Amino acid sequence: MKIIDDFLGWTNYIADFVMLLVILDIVFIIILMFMERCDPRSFVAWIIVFLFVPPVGFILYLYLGRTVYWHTGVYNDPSFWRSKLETSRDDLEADMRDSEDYRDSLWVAKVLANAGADTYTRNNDIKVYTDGTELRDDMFDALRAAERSILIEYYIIRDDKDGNELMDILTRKVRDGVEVRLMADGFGIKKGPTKAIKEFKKAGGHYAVFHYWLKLFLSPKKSHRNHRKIAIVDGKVAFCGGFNIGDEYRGEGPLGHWRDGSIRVVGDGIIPMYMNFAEDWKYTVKKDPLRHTWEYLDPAIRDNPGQDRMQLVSGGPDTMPNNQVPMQYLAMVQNARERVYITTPYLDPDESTKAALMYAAQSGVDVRILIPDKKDHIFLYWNNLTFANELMKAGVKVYRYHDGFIHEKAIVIDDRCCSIGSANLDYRSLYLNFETNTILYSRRLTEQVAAQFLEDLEESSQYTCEEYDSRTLMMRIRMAVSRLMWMLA
Amino acid sequence: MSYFTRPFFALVELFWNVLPLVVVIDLIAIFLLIFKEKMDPRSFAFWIVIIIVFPFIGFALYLVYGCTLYSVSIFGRKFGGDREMGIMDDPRIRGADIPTEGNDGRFYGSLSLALRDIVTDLSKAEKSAYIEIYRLPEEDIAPFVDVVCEKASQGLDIRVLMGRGLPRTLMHLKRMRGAGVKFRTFHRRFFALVATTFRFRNRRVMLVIDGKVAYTGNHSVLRTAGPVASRLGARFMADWAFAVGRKPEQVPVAEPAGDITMQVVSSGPDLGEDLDPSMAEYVSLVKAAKRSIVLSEPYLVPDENVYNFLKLSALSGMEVKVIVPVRGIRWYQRWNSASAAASLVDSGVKVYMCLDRFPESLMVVDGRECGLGMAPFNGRAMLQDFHTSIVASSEGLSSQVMARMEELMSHSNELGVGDYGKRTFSQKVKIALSRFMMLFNRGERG
Repeated sequence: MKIIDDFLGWTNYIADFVMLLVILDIVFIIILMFMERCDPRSFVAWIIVFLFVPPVGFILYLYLGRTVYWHTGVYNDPSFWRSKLETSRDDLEADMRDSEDYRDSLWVAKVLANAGADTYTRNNDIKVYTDGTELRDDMFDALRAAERSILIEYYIIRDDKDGNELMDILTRKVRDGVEVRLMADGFGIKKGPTKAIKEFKKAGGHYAVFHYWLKLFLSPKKSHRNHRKIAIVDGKVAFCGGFNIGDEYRGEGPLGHWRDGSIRVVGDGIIPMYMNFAEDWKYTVKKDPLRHTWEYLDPAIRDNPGQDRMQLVSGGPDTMPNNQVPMQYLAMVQNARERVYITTPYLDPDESTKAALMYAAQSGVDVRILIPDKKDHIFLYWNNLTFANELMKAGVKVYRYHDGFIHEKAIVIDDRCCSIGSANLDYRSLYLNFETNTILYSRRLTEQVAAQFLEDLEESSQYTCEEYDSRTLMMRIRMAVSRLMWMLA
Repeated sequence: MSYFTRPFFALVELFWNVLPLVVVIDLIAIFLLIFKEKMDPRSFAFWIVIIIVFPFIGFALYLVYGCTLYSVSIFGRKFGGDREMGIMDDPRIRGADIPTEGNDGRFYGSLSLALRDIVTDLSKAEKSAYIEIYRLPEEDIAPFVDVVCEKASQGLDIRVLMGRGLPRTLMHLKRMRGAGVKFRTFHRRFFALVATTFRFRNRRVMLVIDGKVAYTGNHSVLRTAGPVASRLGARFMADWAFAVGRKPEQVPVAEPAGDITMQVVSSGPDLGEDLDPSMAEYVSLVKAAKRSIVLSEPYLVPDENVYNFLKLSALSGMEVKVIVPVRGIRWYQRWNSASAAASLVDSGVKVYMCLDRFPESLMVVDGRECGLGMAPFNGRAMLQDFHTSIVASSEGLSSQVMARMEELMSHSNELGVGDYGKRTFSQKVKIALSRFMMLFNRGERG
């Protein structure tokens, strides 16, 4: 009976495979047990899934499990940070305390400096972009003018006109003898402009993929995405914010008009951005290290005559449990006296931020949140509405933007400080992604961002409790399912 | 079929017959969970997994530990009663009572210190005395019971509202009822037996004499006199009305007796998931702080989110001190406090581990405002039980509370920055298990 023997042989293999899964499951349970950041509820849910449905637990763990970042290297060394902080804190106190414009924001700056945010800098010239075409033109011009180095880190680079144009510029620059380092996120870039990247590498460009899924096949780290968007040219000019690279971000995609925010920095503010890039590069690429710091930074930035104060907040799962990004949201909301304007494409604040927003609204602060009204994601749109309703009940005003898609991640408090960056006000950005926000302590820029916000409100309508209560059955079901699926997003 | 296999197959057959019922119950449970409950996603995922993997048993567990629908329906009536008494109206702190001016306050570090004054005040009572307590304390309260019985036999209106009666204190109760004291338990008897040992406990503690003088607090005690005492009286009346099932009676407003502004803040599961006055109390006190925050807690919970407001204050350079006991009432509270304290210490909070005292929830801000008898600060779990606390702004009262805090601190060790990193393997195992036990946290003693 050869057939039966063969068949039994196969079942043996299958049994072995299941056995392997069970062993892996047990290993994961043990890892989870000692990972003390894990919430008890999720912990029990994990254990039960592992014990009773091992293959499902295994697959889920690969996507959603928690993981540890072993702190290695100089940038993660606490004493390094501490010494860096001591210097920046003195600077900050001396600069902000006696100034009419910044005195009230000192609290936020101090909290973030102590939480480990990057150095506070004060001699910057900052320009805020709210339009994709303008940003692309300026950025590509700056890249074309590069002479020594280009460091660039993006979440998404699309395989379309803009993406390919960027790659063309970079490849040409490599051929001109400029040192170009490009890093993209493994999940965000998906395929990307594959051909152009190949050519770029052939020409001698340095290319890296952050958390490439195949390398991390057995690790849940692949759900930790690098959502940062930074470009540093010659150490002279830097771009940072919410825009990715692609035609869609200039309003030529399926979602129509695209509202987003980014900034261009000239001045000392580039240094922490460089540090950030260097850290990410060091973590991702082991064999191709960066050269000495000042090879990438232009000493001239130290003498820049600008007046805009800036602080870079960059956090990620490696900095838990003291992640600066949720701290930033919380600190800014807590510090507001008159108004808080928040723009975010995805709304899913953590408990403490939610509480802070609600109590701020209750105590008379004008809290407004602007969210998009287009379904760019199957679950997240419905989750936005659920959380919007919770906040609305406490007096927060929630608006939905109708003129295309709003992807900006901005906060304005009073009329003295604002933040533009890559972190959405949702669980993924607050706790799972690597994010970079820039806080701008400047009345001029804050006014500009606030004016833009109020302009956007013209294109929006307020979302009311009545509207929420009159949902159709279909919408109710979608919301209920989305609440369950939030973590697969 | 042999003698042994027959019952086995009978069982299988029985299960087969019951299966559709189990599936239907499960589907109902999941439906309820998805459409009716408003939970945070993690609890949500947790309960879905439990219900799917353990049919029936999972549903039962969910009803007992997780379900909030029942509490909302049973306490909805109560919330209405509270509204009527004007207890839940202040917009500044949601769910809080109106702030009252012109009060007097005195703080006692422990019940035995306060007992003599309580007895004196009671013996001066002319019309009524209302007592609300989870259960009678273990300390010797015979003089207190004596005076209560004496007053009751003189024909005064004396009412006792208890969360739970225990055999140890039953003799006191018998004596009081014999003397004519009106006695009620907060929940109906069946409900009290099934569900209230770990949730929905009425932990409000107060003694209101003639609506003019009031005592509140579990271990440390606050004596108040003035309008705030009549607000506590109103609080008692609303709870009494819930227990009795009648409309609440009004309480006359007392004359001013001092110059302290006080506010009664009550929280409980009757408020639903959105409103949380005790959390608002903490946040507004923390936000009001300019220089220092001193907080004592019976235990800490290992939740990254809960202490963010404290961390924020510490990071801004303010002096933030937290006092917790080394050993909690339950074994797992000890390890959970330790792991939560470590993350606080990292942010610059000074944590004092108290060796042989049991601190309760007290808070002093800038030596000028204080919160007394608050719900333990543990996020969502704060809404599990009924609590009543008092916020007072007075330097005198704050310094009395500070004295108690200083005493606790002198019996404590300060936690160092690297201490938590030195834990041994067996401690790590205990901490891992303790996190899990937090799901079934029963909180303070009782």
